[in-house]
Amino acid sequence: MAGLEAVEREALERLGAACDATAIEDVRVWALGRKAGRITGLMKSLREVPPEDRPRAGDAANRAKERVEAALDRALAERAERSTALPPIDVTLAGRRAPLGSLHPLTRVRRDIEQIFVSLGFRIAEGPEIEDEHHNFEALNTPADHPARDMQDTFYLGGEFLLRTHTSPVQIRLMEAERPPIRAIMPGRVFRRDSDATHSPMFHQVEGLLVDHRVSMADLKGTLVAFLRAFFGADTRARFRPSFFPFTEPSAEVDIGCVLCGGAGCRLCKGSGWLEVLGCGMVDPAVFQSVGYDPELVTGYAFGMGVERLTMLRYAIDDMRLLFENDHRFLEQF
Amino acid sequence: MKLTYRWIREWVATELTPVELAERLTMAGLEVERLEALGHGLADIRVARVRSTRKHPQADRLTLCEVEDGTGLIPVVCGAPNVRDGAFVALAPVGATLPNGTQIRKAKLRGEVSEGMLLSEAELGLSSNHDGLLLLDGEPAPGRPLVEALGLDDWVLDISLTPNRSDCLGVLGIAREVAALTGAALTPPAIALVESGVAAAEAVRVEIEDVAGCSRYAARVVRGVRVGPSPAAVRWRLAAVGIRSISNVVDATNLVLLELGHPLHAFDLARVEGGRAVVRRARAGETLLTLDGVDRTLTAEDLIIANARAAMAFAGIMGGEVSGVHDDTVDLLLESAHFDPITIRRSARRHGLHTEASHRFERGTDPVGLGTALDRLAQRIVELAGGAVAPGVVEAVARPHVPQRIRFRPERARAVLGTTISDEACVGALDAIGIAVDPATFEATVPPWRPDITREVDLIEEVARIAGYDQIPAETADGVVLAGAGPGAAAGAQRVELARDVLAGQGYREIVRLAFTSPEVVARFDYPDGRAEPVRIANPLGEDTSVLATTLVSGLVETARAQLNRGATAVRLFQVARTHRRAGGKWPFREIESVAALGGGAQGRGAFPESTRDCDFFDLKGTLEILLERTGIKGVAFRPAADLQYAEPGRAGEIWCDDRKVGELIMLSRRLLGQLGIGLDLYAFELDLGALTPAAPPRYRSFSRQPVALRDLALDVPAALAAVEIERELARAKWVVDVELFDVYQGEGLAPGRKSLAFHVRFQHAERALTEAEIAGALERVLGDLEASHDARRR
Repeated sequence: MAGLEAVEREALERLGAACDATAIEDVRVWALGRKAGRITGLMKSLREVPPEDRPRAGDAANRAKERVEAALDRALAERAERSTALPPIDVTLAGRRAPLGSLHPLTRVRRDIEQIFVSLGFRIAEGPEIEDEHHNFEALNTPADHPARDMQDTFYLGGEFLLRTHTSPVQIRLMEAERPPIRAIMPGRVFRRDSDATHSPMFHQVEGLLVDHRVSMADLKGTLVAFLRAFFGADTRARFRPSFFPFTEPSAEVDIGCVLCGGAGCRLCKGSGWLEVLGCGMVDPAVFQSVGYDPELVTGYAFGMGVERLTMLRYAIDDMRLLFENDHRFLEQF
Repeated sequence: MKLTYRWIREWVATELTPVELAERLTMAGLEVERLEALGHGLADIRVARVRSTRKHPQADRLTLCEVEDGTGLIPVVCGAPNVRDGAFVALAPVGATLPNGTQIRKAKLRGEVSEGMLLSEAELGLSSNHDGLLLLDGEPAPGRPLVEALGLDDWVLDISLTPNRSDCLGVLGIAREVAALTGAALTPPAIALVESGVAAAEAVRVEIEDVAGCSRYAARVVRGVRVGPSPAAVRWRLAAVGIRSISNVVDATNLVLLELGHPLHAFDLARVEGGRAVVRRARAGETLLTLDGVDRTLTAEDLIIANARAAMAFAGIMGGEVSGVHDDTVDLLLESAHFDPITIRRSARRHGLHTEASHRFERGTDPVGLGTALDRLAQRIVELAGGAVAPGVVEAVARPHVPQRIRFRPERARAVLGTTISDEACVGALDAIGIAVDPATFEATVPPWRPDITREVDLIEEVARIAGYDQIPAETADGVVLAGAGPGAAAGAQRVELARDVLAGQGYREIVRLAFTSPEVVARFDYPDGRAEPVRIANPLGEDTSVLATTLVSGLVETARAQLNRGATAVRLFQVARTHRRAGGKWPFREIESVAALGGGAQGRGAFPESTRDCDFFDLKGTLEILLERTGIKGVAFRPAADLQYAEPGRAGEIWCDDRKVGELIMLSRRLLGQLGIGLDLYAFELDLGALTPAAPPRYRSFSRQPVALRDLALDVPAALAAVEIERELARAKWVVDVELFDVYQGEGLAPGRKSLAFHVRFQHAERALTEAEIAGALERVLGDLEASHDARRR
């Protein structure tokens, strides 16, 4: 039927422009009004269509009418919804928040270290902070008259008791209590009688110990390189330098390529391009003898690191004292 | 220990640059902590020659000079008394910067123009001598950089030596390492002594009375020395490595100490009374005036060198003032000995004397090489101070050196190191550092300068060190060890970690404080009872850090105070750490795994009224309840606490578990906070996590899926009645599954002495829906009971 499509299109266009109920009603009257409605008019003119075409034309006109009616109903319903909607809000207002807590950066880094070693099959062992000379020194091949005692200034508590200077006594306690294989890390607080910008009288260590048949320095290197890459990133370079600890032999210090300059030399690495991050070595036979292990039958490695050092490197903290001052402007950054 | 690059190169023919040398040494376990260009700060200083001098017309002390600086003559005003025509001096021209940072500018001094400054040793940073200008020896070309003219174009290596490497406490030891690492030849200076005069044995006898303290004592006599200042080159070499120049004789002992690593001593022969030098223990109470000017009272354990009458020197630690070298000394007795490390270490510690000598003897010295050191010293003294070496060495040997022999198993080295290094490579590495290995038996003979090598593992370390740690592959153990063996000690640790997570999740910030505190703080904040003694440190850093903290709350308050002083308006903090107390028994300490939290002020942010509410007692209690629930701890009860000096009266609770007090929940005393300058109300709890046993993991119980009916109930009750009484009775009523107090009211509409409590009461049947009538009936019955038992009436 001539004009039906055009009328329907115009009705829908007018409806699209209608912004309130009155305008929608106007569209209804325009299209479907009893007297002057355009679609109504077209339906009336069906009588002029030849009888053989009439059913098809009537059908088309009815469907167009239904579509326009449905569109009108939809528009009205939407309109009604809009009129009962909630007033708008300022979505840029700050959210209502419960107070934000946080873990201390030392806790976060210690957990990262622990997690890496636990995933390598190490378990976590703990021991007392107050120790005796036997566990802290003698069993670790550091007799009273050895110059190596000077490496660690000690807080004494009277008699044989002292604040542990490292978490190594936990290694002794573990070996005294168990037979190999042993594969554990020992996190904890340690104490040294030393206090300045780069030394705190209390700090945190994570040490590790692995004892079994046929453990070699190559295993030690492999484990620590795996740790350093997990902690500092997959492209971390590491180097092992000979060093001395009374309780390991051979002993090594481990450097990583400077995290700040990448090895070119800067203030952080004092121009060397390397940062010392770990001490380690093969467990000294004298240590095994002190816990009743036969050094011909078992070998092992041990390592230790300062949590403060790794924390400072991870978060680019340039003054260790910040870690113990608990300034809110510092803690709020973690 | 500091040495210079040129000095090392005099002893080993290495072509390595200073940077390369430092790198090689570091990678061999001799860590070069710092490498410094020696002439640092002197780049602008030039040699100049004074061409004319005349008095300043306006000032007696000043001299007007014309100096030749290589390009021409420039006028310089100089205040030094020793300036003279023709002298070669150090000139800082206009624009130069001195080592202390001073900038030289063109100046007018009392009307006379000065275009530079002539410098003293002190101004050059070479020594503390500022008595006059530095006068250069010879005829260096004016205009030449001073560092070149003085041989200061050198580098100082500051080497951090581990305690086992006593052999490297001198140039020779470092040179040996360089030779072993690079294959360069050792080039030690030849020692050629010309002996003359009366034999040394005629002048002196040496005796070792204490065999345990000294294994060998050797001495030489040098007669006719002239004690005086050392030549500039010697003084600057010593200054470069941080040693003060004293006199030519003393400087010679220090030079040889630094070269060979062996401590030596020079006595004034005239003071060796009776011609005897005896090594013996001191008599208790015997005194000795040491070179540092301290009159020391010795003990019977101290080892000394005595003459026929009295103590002359503190063996291996420090010489005596009287027997030492003085300006008028002519004849010398030179000592080179081997003392027992433990004896020296104990004496040095007892007297608080740490010297270059004691440092080396403590770590072990070369009992054979001491003879070479003695000869070298005699040679250097003659070179620097003149005199003649008397024929012969006077010597006492208590225990001859027996070389250490150790069986070395290359297969063991390969097993420990995890490498495939060959037998030959092992032997070659050991041979390079002077350890001879018999190719048939693999028996190693350790040279006398390596007292640290006593076991096979020491040899294995040397093999690894010389071959290079980078030759060891990095492998991970291939199933050698079973991974992840059980939780073990970690169960407790897990609970502590969970506590951290819960408190951080509840909006508290974790702090880390040192474990130390002051006795006053402990007295103020003791927990859980004041009877247990704190742990005292015998050698604290200070009185305010002399005990271990017995509570965490005290530290939290301290941190809160610091934060509030720095501008924080609210605090929400927690700490998890061990606290310490004295206890009875064989191990007289108790370590408590403690957790504590503290809050005060309004923490919220933003434009919401509820966020400005101040934290109160029940905020902390709610946090504590959540902490207990999340850590799986059940059966905790709260009881009002008796008066606590640090808590506000009537606002403190004790936390009990299984008939044990395990903590406190308090409002901090306003009086105490006032004393600390804190104007904010603070609330805190502290809990002994170690004393709490976590409940078993939860077990699922089936729950009713039937509808829940809610009824609100307002009750008019006596004002003194605790709400919990009504709550309990309501909870016992038929079909009641939950009771929640939602309002407490007192005032208008109620009789005096009465209050209103409003509850939400929820009813539910396990298997079916309840009818209206059933609920009404149940409510009716419980209301009747409440009226009878508690005088409660429905409003």
